Amino acid sequence: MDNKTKEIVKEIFSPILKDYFEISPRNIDWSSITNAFLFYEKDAKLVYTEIYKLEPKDPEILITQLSELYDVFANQMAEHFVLDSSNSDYEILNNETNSIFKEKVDFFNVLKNVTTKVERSRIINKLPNLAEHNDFSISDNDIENAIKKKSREDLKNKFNKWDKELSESEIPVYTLHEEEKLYSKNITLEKDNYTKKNKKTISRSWLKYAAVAAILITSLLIVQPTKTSNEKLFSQYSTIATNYRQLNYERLTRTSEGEENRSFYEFTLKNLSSAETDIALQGLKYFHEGNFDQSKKLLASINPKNKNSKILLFLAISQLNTNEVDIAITTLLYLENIPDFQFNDTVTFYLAISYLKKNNLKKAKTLLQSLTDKESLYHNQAQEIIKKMRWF
Amino acid sequence: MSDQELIELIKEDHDYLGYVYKNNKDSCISFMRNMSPKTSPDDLNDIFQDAIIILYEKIVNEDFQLTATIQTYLNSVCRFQILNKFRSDKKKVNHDNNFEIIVDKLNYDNSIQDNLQPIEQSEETQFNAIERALKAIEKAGGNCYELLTLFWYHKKSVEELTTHFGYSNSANTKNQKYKCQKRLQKLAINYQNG
Repeated sequence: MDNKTKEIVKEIFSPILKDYFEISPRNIDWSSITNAFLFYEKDAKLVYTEIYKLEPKDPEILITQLSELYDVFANQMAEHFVLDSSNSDYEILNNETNSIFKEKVDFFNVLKNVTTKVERSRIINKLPNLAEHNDFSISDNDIENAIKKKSREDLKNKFNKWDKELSESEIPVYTLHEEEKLYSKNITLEKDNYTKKNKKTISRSWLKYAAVAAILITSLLIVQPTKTSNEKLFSQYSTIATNYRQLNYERLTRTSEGEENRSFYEFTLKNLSSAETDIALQGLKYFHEGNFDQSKKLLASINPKNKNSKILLFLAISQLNTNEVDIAITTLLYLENIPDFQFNDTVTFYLAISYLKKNNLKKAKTLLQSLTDKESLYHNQAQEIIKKMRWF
Repeated sequence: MSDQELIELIKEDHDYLGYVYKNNKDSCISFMRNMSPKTSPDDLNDIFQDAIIILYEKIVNEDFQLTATIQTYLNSVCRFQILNKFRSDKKKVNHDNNFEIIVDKLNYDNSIQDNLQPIEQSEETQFNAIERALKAIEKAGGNCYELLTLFWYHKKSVEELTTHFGYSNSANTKNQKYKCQKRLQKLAINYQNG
């Protein structure tokens, strides 16, 4: 038996086991259950036997779900078979009696060919436009390095110029130290020559220090303005669309994840009454339209703190986008302390850009760094912001 | 950017094909014109576009290792396609007196004989119904069209789809895909029966 097949069965079965067992059964013989599933269409009783062995509290109810579970199993096996038929268990499934599996394989084979046809056509039609619009802009890093290099070259040219000026000067140039030495040797200088000398005495080492300082200041003055202002960064990243997709409000439902045709009025949000759910959903609608004043008003009215942390997160982002940065920070700090909060990274990200808005760059950077240090949905955005941040 | 780096970028996002298209089109068309001056510009253009698709499908379907430059690869694929076309049309490639000299100077690899994988349409009614249903789903909006095409054509893994769509975990992605497929199937059956 292929391990992939066992993993598929485990993945399908495990979430429902907790509904049928007071304590999750240990030492489940997944190999036997998987084997039974492979022969389900030929003899379903093999699966029933495995179910009864587990001693669930309502085995009959679990058994009524088996056909649906088998459909999901056959679906996944058929997908894998069409994409890559290297699983040895396909030989068992791919025979005359397994009509459900075969039907799915036929469907997926055709679907694969249809998507190939449709996508080839779409890509070919799109190619000339892609060629026009491909933006392979130079990275900020490259710009910075180019500017630095040019600045250094310009300053070196100036050194040459200054060296030339120095060598053209008639009056010898000495360091102050050498001047003193000359005095101590009782070389008499006329007062005006001495004055001239002092005026023209330029220490080359001071010149070098001044030049280095000039390089640094010039580089910073040139490079820093090319960085995006922190205010602009805040505006750019507080409203980017991908952040909202990650917080698709349809995911707030208790029973389904982002089901497309589900009416707003078929469920209530967690810990909210029906009326509060209506208000919250209207608020979220405004949120998605970018009308943060309205979303803030509605979401605040249902007082989501201690009721629904996800709604509270939307409220915090609305507060942030309507200039109530301090209030947003307070809300986000509260959310940060909720154990196992599903949108921890989102909270960290928005807290970071709130601090950015407040010019608390150290805190902003620490939070952004924590997102780049791990596999986060905000990893790339956090990296971008750190690169673009202005330090003065 | 090296060609191998570009290949990696294309694997992540097929929009980078635009870069390949822009930077290789003129050379490829010129190469093909040298090989077959009588082929119409439209045909040459079609052959080049097919070569881009062949390259892309190689990249996403297999562990593609570029053994030559992208330019050489595309030239080779275009050349192979032209030879096939002439074989099927029973025409001969234009052999200029200096053709072999010209060919030697041109950038292609004889061993590259990749072709566009044919699309099977053995169950024509079912194929047309599913195609119609897929286009209807695309028009209706939502994630289903993208989800299905990214999975079945662009060969994105469940984990990649989870990140792309921002679903909370892989199980939800699979669930969404399952629902989209069911929806597509239902629609296709309606078209087939209606």
